[in-house]
Amino acid sequence: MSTYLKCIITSLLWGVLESLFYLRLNEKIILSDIIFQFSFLKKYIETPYIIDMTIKFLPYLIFQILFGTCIYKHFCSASNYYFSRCINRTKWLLREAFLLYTYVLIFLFCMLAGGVMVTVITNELIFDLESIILLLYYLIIYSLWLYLTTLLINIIAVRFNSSVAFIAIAGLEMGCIFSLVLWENVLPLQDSPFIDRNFLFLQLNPVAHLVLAWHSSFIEKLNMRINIYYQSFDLNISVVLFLLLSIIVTVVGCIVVKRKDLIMANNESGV
Amino acid sequence: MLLKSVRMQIKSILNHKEVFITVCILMLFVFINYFSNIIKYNGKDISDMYFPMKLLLLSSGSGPINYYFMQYLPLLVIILVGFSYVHDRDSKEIIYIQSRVGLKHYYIGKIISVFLVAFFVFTIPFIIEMIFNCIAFPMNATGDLSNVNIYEKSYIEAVKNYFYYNLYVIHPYIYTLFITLVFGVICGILNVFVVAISMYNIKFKILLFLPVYILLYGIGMIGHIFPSIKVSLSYFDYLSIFDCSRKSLLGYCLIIVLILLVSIVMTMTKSRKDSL
Repeated sequence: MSTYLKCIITSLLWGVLESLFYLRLNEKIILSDIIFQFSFLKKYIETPYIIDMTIKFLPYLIFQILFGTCIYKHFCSASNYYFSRCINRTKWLLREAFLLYTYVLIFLFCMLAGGVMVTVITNELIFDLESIILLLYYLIIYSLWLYLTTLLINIIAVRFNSSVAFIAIAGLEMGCIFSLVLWENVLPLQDSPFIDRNFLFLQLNPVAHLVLAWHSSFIEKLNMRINIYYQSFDLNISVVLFLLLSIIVTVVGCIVVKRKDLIMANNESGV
Repeated sequence: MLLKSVRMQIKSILNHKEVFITVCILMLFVFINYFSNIIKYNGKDISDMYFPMKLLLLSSGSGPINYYFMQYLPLLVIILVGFSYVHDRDSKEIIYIQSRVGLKHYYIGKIISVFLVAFFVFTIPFIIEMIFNCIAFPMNATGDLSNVNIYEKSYIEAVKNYFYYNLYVIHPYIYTLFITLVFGVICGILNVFVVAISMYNIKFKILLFLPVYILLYGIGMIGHIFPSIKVSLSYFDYLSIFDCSRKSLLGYCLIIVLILLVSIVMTMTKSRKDSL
């Protein structure tokens, strides 16, 4: 199966599955409601929500597993032959990274398209300006995050092997999700005199940047729709953060790939 | 011959560093929970003290540490012996064992040994924790972590949602031990499932994470897709002891038996098709 087809089928399937419950409804649904479904819902931090978040993480984990070897696979079989014909490895990695970003965009877009297709069967879908802007932010923030984590899995796999790479990145992501428990009791975001300080600490958690409903926006109407904590946490901060991290990871990837000694054992099989 | 195969393979699995790492991680979780309980409940009056078994790592009410552990469970399950067959294949150990015990005995021995190792690894640390809790905390303390009086109607209703609550009513300590053993059995079955899948030419080890994640998270996701389902579908609730959310015992048992059957069928098919 071609990689594009694999990407489209997986994303459409998850998009449809995640939106099946809309079939029970028969009302006006705004596009932003569907986007919230794919961006860890619109809820306050509490333990049951964090467990839901873990479960909602599944489609993104599946993407990371399926595409966590898309660059690394070239180092597994016939790598000597492959790279003897590839003079500039940096240029090669940048091309592969661009391809990976394309897969990420297709995945996110098709997942959302699957959700929209199911929703419109029984409901009336409303496309307003705020939803379109939110959609753009969703695509930018999630694509950069999925790109950087999947590229990181590939890079660590080149250095060690694919299982170690996945354990490291998925473990880190799970840790970040569950560290949100801290903001339930230790650093509460409601009924506390230190809400501003606690919210500032929340922005240090990378997973918090994925929950669009906790963000704020300079566009007043959009801000009213998303900012459930009424705090300053601009969507652009998340875009800049993930963009910077993506650039750093790409540069690190170039260095790792360039320095990779091919006259050595296959990481995957150890022989 | 089968016994020899199992013995050889257990010895081989125990030499893998993954087993040592998993045991260390499990013991770390157990000790963090145990010492945090010791510090938290130091000097508490016996009449206010909680039932010692409800402070265990596997206990649903033991707080964030239980959730942390449950979240990492799919990873731990796969790390333990999920790559055992792949390791045998890559190190060519498979040829040695198969030529000594035969193809069929190798495959049957593989799933038995994987099950046994996983069962003991995922059971012994929790039994040790049970013993430690019995020593450190008063065994006649009866309090519940929700601070609800144990004779209140709401508490009695909640207890009815525990798995096999009849056993809990008769003897809560034996009940805890029983659920811990069931937890070990389920972890063993999940490991057998991963190993059975790995027998079918999986090119990258990373792909072996998919089945368990899809199984555990996917079932939980059904609850999000169909909110009308009233019983819990999250594996957090099913694998924890003393969880009082509504659960389906029949569905739970069916899924476990189905996974086991699929794993056995896959292993038997592979053993028939394979040749030395």
